[in-house]
Amino acid sequence: MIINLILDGRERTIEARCGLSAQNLLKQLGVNSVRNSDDGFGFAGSDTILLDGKIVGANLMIAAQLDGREVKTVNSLRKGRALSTVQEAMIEACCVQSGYNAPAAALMIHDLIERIDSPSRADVQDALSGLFNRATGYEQFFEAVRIAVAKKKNQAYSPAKTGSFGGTSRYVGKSYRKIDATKLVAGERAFVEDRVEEDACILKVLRSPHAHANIKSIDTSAAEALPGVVAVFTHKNVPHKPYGQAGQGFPEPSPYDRVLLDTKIRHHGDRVAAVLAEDEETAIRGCELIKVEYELLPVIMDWDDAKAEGAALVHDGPIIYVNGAPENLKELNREANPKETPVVYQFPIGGNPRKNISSYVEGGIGDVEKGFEEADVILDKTYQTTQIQCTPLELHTTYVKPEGDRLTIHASTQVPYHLRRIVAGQLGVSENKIRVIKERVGGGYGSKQDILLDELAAWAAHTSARPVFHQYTRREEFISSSTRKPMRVRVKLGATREGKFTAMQMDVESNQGAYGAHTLTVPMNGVSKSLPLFLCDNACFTVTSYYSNIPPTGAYQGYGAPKVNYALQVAVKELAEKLNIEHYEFVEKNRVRKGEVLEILRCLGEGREGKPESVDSCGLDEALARGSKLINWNKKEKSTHPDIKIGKGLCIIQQGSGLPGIDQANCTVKMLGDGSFVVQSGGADLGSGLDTVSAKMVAEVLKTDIDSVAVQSGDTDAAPFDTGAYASSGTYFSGGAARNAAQLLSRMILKEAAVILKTSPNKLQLEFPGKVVGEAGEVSYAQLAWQTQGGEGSGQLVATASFTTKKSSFPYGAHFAQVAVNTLTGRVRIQKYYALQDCGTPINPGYAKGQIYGGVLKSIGHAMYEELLLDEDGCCLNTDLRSYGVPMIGDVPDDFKAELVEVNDPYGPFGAKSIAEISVNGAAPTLANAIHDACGIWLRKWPFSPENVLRALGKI
Amino acid sequence: MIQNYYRASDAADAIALKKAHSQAVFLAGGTQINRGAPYGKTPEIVIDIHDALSKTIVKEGVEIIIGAMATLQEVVDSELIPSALKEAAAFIPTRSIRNQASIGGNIGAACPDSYIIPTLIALSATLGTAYGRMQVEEYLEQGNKELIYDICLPEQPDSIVAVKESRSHIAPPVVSAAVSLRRNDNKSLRACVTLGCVASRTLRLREVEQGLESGTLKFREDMEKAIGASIKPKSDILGSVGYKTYINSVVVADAIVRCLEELS
Ligand SMILES: Cc1cc2nc3c(=O)[nH]c(=O)nc-3n(C[C@H](O)[C@H](O)[C@H](O)COP(=O)(O)OP(=O)(O)OC[C@H]3O[C@@H](n4cnc5c(N)ncnc54)[C@H](O)[C@@H]3O)c2cc1C
Ligand code: FES
Repeated sequence: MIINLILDGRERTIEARCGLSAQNLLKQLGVNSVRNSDDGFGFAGSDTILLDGKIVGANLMIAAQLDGREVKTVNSLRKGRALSTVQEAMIEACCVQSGYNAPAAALMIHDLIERIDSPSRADVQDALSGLFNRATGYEQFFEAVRIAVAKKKNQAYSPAKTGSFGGTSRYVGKSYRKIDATKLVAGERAFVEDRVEEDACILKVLRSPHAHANIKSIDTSAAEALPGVVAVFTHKNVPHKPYGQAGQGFPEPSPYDRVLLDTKIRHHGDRVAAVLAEDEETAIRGCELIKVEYELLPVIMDWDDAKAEGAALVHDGPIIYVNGAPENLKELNREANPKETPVVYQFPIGGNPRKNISSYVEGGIGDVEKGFEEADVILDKTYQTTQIQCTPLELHTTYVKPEGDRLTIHASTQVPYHLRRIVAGQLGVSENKIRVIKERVGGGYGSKQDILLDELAAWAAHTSARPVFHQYTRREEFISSSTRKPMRVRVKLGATREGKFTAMQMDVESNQGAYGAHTLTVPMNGVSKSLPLFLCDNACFTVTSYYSNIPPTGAYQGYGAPKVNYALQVAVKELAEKLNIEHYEFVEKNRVRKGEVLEILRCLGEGREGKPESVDSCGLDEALARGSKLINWNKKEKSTHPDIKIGKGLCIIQQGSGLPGIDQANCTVKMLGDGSFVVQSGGADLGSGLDTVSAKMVAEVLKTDIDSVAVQSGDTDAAPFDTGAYASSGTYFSGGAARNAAQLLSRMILKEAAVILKTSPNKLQLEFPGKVVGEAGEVSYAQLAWQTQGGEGSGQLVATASFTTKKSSFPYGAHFAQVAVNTLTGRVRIQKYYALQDCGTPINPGYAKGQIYGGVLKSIGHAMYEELLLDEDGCCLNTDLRSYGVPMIGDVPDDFKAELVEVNDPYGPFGAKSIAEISVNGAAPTLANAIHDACGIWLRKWPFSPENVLRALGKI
Repeated sequence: MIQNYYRASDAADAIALKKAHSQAVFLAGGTQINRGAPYGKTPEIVIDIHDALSKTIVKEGVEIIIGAMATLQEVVDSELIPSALKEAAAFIPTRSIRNQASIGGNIGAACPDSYIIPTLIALSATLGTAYGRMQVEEYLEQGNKELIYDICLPEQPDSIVAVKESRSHIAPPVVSAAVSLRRNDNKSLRACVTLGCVASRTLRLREVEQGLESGTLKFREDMEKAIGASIKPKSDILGSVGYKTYINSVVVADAIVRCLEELS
């Protein structure tokens, strides 16, 4: 039908199918900023438009409903290059992180301040009620509204900056607008889906309806005969080369235990076949036409099923070792099924797939048995956590374009260089044939550390010579993404009557799911980022990961720590109660301090030999002291309602800053013809502001205006290698590489300037803005560039440097909460949540806080609401965001504070440590402890849902 | 996938189109019909009633007439609407959905977890349809296929409370209920206790109502027991039978107690 509408002030006419979604119609009209996060479930709000002046979701409307109406998108807010008041306010409040639905948020806030002059907190919550935002934790949106209202009243209004750190530095430690924020909040093209061209084919995957099965037969003839189908892929026409999807440094500690398409299905949603077609509808129809016969196998749901006598084996193929094969390998392989995909270990990680064990490790220091003997009180409890989805707003997406004998992959990834390596391996080509361009990433949180769809799309593009677009649906996100691993953690603690630990023991069982991504490292990291928070001479642990048929698990922000730390921190409070010692006091008596050497890390080396580490910076003293004061720790709050009980809780947290001895980052800084700079960073900015961190460090070192530093990151052709954005490495490693490259360039600048000024480099220094000065005179960077790049010059000034380290810089923090538990309904309201964190020198304080808010709210969601539910056959029951239960702005604590504790780390660039990942480690134990304080129950299992609270209260 | 789209100019046109295309479905805001199109099956033929029905909210004597196309946000914003219905509409926590969803569509969708239907029943609302005016329950019993023109709210009850309970702010509800009490001229009590989320459609708990009217149900504990005995929820992803029975019992009993307190 013909549709007439007024779009952003212009009359438009377009012919479209009446049933097309309005979001797709707008895309056809050239609007990219109205996006899809949930396939029209009306939940996420990425599709927000103003329809006849009212906020609605375009994905919940069909094209025909726009006929005769007025539609405004974010394009209506901007006047020329100038952003609107609201957009500016959002940038100043630091709430443009991944930015995927920043345009939607801008429209919602615009609508709010048009309706209400001075909105209350409840008005803001109502205005943004339809916005799902995993990254920001919503809190800074309240500030954005406040700034927008003030600016509306007085255009010249400028808000106070968030803190000032880093001493006399010009940029480091000072608030500065995120360098990609303008284009994101304006809704410019920035994401993978924005790069897709007209002639792109669409790849869709047929996924298994069963959790464990063999494919007996597969008939693709009808799909192949369907007009518009370009190719159909099954196990018959893809490489049979085992690989792993975990984006980790090579050689990976995760086994290679899958092939592109297999004859065996290991989880509900596993790949069965794939159809490449000219358009989406044909690709979907093609999948429907494939006939598959399955032979169902018994389903392994968890650790108990996995270790049961005679349990079905999730991986029944041969076991292969690249290095360090165990002596009994032959014996292990005697009954293996040679037709099944093998499990290939790069080196031993204690796995035994013949017992469904994907990895195992144990270790300890001191004499734990003796330690328990010496204890006056022993606590022995088991805690359990659930499977959690990353739920990025931007679905997993890839666009692969063949160009001559090369492939360009526009990817939404945390690990462009690992992606390149894994794809090259599957295609059997060398890495130089692949170029990965990491686009802006609409949230990853760990799930984009794994290569979930790029390799298959690359195979399709490589064999068909057609550009291939492949994007998950939200349902696919739930059944075939990588998730947080469920864990069962036994904690045994012994202490003297005076409250000193004598022994600590942790036994971690991890439900790995169908494939082995991060099998060893996640649970092990859980131990290494929790156990060392307390000082004890006798400590030991075991970690066992089991293969099962639940949807795949992998990395998720926190990397094991949120779960194991939950177990430990609740156990510590339980023990304190047994000892009759106040919890805060007990923590103070035993916690880690600056100057301590963490012996236990000797046995926690991530698949390699570890070593003891010293704690050379630690902000726990201040975090605990400030936090307890803020929340009035010793005051028991009174409830005014008989059913509502109020309580307070705390916990301490820790993480790392990259992987010393394993990770490496590289960066190139180039001086351009006018003395400005381009930074080519291997680091993958996921929306957290890493590019801004790089720009700040370079501008700081080179004493130049930050506006004259542009950052291009994550293009594997352009920038040098970086392990990627995981393990809290961004600021520390990638930022460190940028600093190192700038420092190298500064020495080159001094040398060249010395030639011009006929003096020695050590008689010169860099001076803001962008010049070299000394007694011999001065020379600007522009002059220097002209000299070096001219016909008689020494060549463009370009410096490349790497960052590696053997030192660990652990960030620390303390979280405090006050909750109100309704003992009638089981509902828990978070009245106060204060997160105090030490990230060394906060390089970009506003965004550092944003990372904390985002991390905390995510983990509040994990602990309180979220739950991936499977039926007894291992099939997912809740595959949309609403029934899964992610937190929205209405769930934000009534009083929510992120506070930065500045300590100068001796090893991090400009004293910085990591900030984001650690933030998810505190909510579960803090809330469990607060709920106990309120009503006396111990919650030893996620989620703390009303039903589970009522059960613990004995009401049901 | 929607293949045929008709836009009705008025109510008569909508009914005529429906006669001509028996498979067709009325499209109001579309928040229900268009939801999750890639997964579920959207209807093939739709009749857009956006321009065909009124969306005004007016007071006629003691009655309030709500055009079926009034959006839930317009219900929230209207000064004429009783606060319990405003509250129930605001239970739908997403502003963009309230802006798009119509009150007629909410009744037409007849979802068992509707926030609106229990409150409309508790308000003794009637619906204007081509077949005359009917009670909301009557409409639902008939299989809710007829076009609703408007909703009429008679004189307000003496007390009314709408309640909802969900795991998080925006999660699907486990309780969606309303309780109202009216004092008749002879001072006798007329109670309405109605709840969704525990059966395939919104229920009225007649025995509980009678207990309240006759005065046999006086104490909170007895009310909780009576409510628990008259519902049979199913366990699903939102909770077990035990939890759903418990939570509906205590929350609805609490609503009754609040209503009684308001009355006295
Ligand atoms: C994410 C999300 C969450 C939601 N949560 C809730 C919730 O918790 N509680 C709740 O109550 N609602 C909820 N809703 C539902 C929403 O409130 C209803 O879908 C809405 O009121 C339906 O109105 P509509 O105009 O969009 O209806 P449509 O989608 O257009 O139509 C819905 C149905 O009603 C019929 N219909 C429409 N108008 C009429 C009419 N005038 N006469 C007869 N039949 C008609 C249609 O044919 C169709 O069968 C939610 C919706 C979404 C998308
Ligand atoms: S329907 Fe709004 S983002 Fe999906």
